[in-house]
Amino acid sequence: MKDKKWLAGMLICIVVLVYLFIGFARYSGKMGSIVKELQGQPASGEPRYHIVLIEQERYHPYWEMVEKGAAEAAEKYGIDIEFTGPVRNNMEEQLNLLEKAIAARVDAIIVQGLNEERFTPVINKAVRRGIPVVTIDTDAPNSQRLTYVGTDNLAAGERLGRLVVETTGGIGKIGVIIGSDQAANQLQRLDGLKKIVAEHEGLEIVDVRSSNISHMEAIQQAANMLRNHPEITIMVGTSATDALGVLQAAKNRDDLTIIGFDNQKETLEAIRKGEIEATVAQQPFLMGETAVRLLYEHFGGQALKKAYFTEVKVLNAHNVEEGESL
Amino acid sequence: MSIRRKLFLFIPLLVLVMSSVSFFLFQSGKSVQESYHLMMKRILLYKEISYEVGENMRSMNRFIMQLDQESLPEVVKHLNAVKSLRSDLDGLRTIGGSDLALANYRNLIDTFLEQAEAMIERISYEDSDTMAGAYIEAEQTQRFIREEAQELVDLELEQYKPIYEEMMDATGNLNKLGILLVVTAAAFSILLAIWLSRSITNPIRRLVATAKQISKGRMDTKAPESDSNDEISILCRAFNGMIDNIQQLMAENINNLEKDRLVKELELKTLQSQINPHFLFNTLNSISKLAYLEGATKTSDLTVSVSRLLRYNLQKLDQAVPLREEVAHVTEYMNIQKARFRDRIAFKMNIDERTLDGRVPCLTLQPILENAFVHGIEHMEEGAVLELVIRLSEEDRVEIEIRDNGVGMSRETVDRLLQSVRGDAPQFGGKRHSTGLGTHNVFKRLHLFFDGEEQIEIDSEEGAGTAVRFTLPLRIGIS
Repeated sequence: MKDKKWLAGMLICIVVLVYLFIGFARYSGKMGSIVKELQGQPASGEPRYHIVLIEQERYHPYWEMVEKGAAEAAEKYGIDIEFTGPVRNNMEEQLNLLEKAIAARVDAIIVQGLNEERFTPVINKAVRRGIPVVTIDTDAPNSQRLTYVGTDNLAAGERLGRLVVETTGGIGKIGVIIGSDQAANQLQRLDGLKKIVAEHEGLEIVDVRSSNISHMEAIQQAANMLRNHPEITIMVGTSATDALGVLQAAKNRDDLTIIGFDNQKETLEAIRKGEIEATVAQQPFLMGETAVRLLYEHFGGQALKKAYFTEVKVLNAHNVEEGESL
Repeated sequence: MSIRRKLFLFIPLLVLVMSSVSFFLFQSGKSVQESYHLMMKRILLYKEISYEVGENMRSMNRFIMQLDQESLPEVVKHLNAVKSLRSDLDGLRTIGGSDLALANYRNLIDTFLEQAEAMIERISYEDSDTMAGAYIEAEQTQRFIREEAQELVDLELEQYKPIYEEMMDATGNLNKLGILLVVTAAAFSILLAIWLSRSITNPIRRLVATAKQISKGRMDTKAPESDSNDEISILCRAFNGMIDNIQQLMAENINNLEKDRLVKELELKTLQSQINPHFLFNTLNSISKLAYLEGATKTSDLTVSVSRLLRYNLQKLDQAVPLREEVAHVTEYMNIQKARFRDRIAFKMNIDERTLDGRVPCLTLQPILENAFVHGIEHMEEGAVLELVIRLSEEDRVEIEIRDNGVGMSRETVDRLLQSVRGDAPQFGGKRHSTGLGTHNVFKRLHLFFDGEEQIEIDSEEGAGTAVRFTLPLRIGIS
């Protein structure tokens, strides 16, 4: 009887021991698999093309669309793509990243040719080292870049001008907020706008200021401009966040007509509400996708044209839904 | 299971359990260590390359500024260090999804190495302009390497985060289980040890307790015998056998003592009934001579009989005598009784001569006959018959029968008498005859003398008489 009790006690002990051993072995195995995971796997089999997209500003909605298009195309063509860019708009940093990409010997670079003068030598250096460069969004036409993918910014500026004429009937004082006074694309848009305005005697550009593609600065600059020039009836923004900044700065001006650029979600919302009259939308997704596709074709040995323009679209209260898929 | 085998089996079992527990703990600790090592190794490698590249630039700077050949080995040393680290970098495998950052890092270092080597070559050309340009480029690359290293570290740390959390979870569980494992294994070991020691010491303790009891004189205790076939239970069985032997010896001893005691009692009683027997004996002889001289032959004979009776009674009672002497003694006794009762009693004897050499305890027949007189036929007016028959049975046993036709006994009295052989003297509530040693005493002595091989029967019916029958082994010679 007593012996049986002992036996039962020891049996329980053994069962518990075995159970714990199993549990222990399980976690030990898990630990082993973690070690294995940390040891890593050998680099993936066949070498793939490695390209870098240098954006103007990371996490900016416009550039996120570019990124999305590029990523999709890269996935499709089996290319590794890396996205970099300054977190805040900073041309020096962008140039730096370009230099770094060259030093890192990537297979191709997609970059914004933001400032012709500064970018051209670096782009040429890359090409000299055998790295093809595609300019996106903004061109550096005199560099040895492979090709340009993006909006024809001069044409887009002209379209903006015509939109102003259409909405105002050719009379009014205009205030312009541009994304940057250094970026070629912004200046080209401004040139296009100026060209159309010059054709109409009733129109006059009163002031031009730069928001440095920052929403906060756009608010600041717009408020400042409206205070200094109360006669302004039309506000035009040439980069994505500018019209929104103007909208926020002009809360108490009901008579103001606002015309924006790009199809940011907030802009479309404002158009739906009637707060922003219209916008000239680019197609960033298409740009990203096209740039990668063209590089793929280039790797395949196909000759490319000097530039591939993507269309712009005017979005107003009637066709605002179309803007969401651009 | 024998104790030796038990020890051989369970002590290695204990050692096995404990050592396997510690082995498991050690193993898991090792894999945790390994995982930390793997993480640290990569990060340190990135940082070390970055550092070496920096050192390389610094030494190169010194070399260019001072333009002495002495600092060239320093440059080469750092350059080689970078090169060897670069080949270590090739050995790294990809963790997580993408190895683009790692590829960039490798390429950056390659670029740097190229630039640095090109620069060392150019120094000898003393083309200071291109050399300065190359230096600036290399410096930029060095900056990129530093940045990229930082970025890689950040990236890897980010990748490690979920792994690390998993690791913490696993190690936490491992620690918990490890503690439980140790505790359970310890409990198991203690349990096993206690059980083992008890299974050995408990029987010994019981054996010791029994030995103590026995040494106090309680012979009826027994050592517990277990079914297990170990050394202790063998010891227990041997011990019990010993106790049995001692008990048997003691019983024999007690029997012997009892015999002696009965003889002593008989002697004492005889002595009590002898009031200076020699005086009485001599006197009786004188009376017999006188009666003879006076012509009273019958009186003379009777006196001789009484004298012989006395003599027989005076001899040693613990000796066996031939049946012949007993018969002679009984004859003398009957002569006296005949003188008393004359024709009221008929005494018949039927004796087989072959039995007369058989030995019986002294004073076996006379007390029975006396009993028959006193209780059976003393009060009968006439026709009393007393019969002594001794014959040899077919199995060579002596059959002695003493029969009377007196008042008889009740069944209970007979039973009591017969039972008295095994117990003490029966408590008859009454008178005892002067010479009466009691049938009880006779029975008991017969029992002791013949070691229980005797047979005693009493046939009695109230009013019809009593027959006492002994069936005894025939023992001839001195015993």
